[in-house]
Amino acid sequence: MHRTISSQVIQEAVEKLCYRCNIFLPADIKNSLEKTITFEKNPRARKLLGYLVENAKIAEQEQIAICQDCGIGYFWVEIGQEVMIDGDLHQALQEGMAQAYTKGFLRKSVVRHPFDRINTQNNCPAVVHVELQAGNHLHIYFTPKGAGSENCSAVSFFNPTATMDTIEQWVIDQTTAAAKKACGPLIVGLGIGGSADYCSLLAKKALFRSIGSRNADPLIRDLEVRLIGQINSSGIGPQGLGGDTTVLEVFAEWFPTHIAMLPLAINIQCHAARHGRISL
Amino acid sequence: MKTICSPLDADLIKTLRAGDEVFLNGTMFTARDAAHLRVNEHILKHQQPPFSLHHQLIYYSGPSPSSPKRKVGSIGPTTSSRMDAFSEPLLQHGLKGMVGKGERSKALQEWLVQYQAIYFVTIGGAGSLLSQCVEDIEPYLYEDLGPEAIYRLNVNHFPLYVAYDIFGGSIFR
Repeated sequence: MHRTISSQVIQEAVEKLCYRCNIFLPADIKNSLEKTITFEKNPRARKLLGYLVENAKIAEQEQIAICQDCGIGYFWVEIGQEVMIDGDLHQALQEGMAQAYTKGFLRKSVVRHPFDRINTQNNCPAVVHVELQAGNHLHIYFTPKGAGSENCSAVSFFNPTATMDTIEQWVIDQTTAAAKKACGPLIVGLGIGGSADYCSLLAKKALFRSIGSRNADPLIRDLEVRLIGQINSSGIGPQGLGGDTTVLEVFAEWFPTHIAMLPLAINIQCHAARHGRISL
Repeated sequence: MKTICSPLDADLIKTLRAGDEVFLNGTMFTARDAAHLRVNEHILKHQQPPFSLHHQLIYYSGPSPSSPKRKVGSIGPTTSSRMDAFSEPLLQHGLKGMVGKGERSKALQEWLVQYQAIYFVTIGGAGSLLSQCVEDIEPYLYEDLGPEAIYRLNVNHFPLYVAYDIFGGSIFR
């Protein structure tokens, strides 16, 4: 069934989404942080995790940004091919975000050009990916992605004959290095297969999953579980200060690939894993 | 738990050891990438920094904006290692402390021993919590840089960990 959605409706909903994402930490992340305090054996790490739980509460109560880095905006849009947009979808996304950042006193962290580095003053533009799907739905996912974690991302091109040990060791090395820079405990997004660009996209998309969810594919699910165990046994802990809680999650997504390829992307997410979705 | 005051006293610095948890009262200046570049250029041109760094602390942070309801926005640390290459000229001009998050270069650790200064870390991703430890914030220099400007902060009971001390000790595993 065809239907029409007004770009004005999208813009207003996106504004609320962007604001909400920056102020309210998702419940699954909050619960996960609280749960880790009961398992964590290192006293300093336990205290640090307590600070993070407290931080999320203060942000909600005071209506202040969870983190001063309100990120580069990142939209993932799933749109059914039976949906007609009355107006301009891209403009609605950008304008909705700009309104949220301006009215909501969120930090504007985007520069207009990588080399001249002039701040655009409204956090625009966001990075937008649109996926055309069957149906008449419109799902808009948003995450304000902070630079401290995004800067720890990497892509590696393994030989198709690479052993699972080699692949796991690379992920462990990347994550443990990131854990000493980015704001842990971390959430690790992995994109396996596809191409250079597509595995990067999958790694980012993986970060939208809920804490505790496991990939349906048994090979990928086992990999997720093994990596969580191995990374947390490193003792690096939250923010590299020691402890059992280096990561909250490892989420892996996969796609078929070429006979000569095994690309793997890693996208690091900090504990302030702000993200949300609207469906219109 | 120890409370320390800034500007940092030279004798106090000698008592701090990697891993110590301390609380800071006093002044800090924010500065991150763009401000470091400018301060370095200023030192190169004028042989002195644009403001006195004598025994001061620099906080690697770009706060979220003030609002009519709250003067201090979210104000957590940014990744310190991006400032490594710009730190020695500041240490040469009397800077005694840096506050940020994450591991830094070997060279930076050696400069801290040489110039008798401390690298502290605070809680990454806890900008709203840390905003409650900042009593006052005022734009100080390079206002055109927006969130990357230098702000002068007056902090009270601001939580810090000594990450690198003057003896080469490190908090990181």
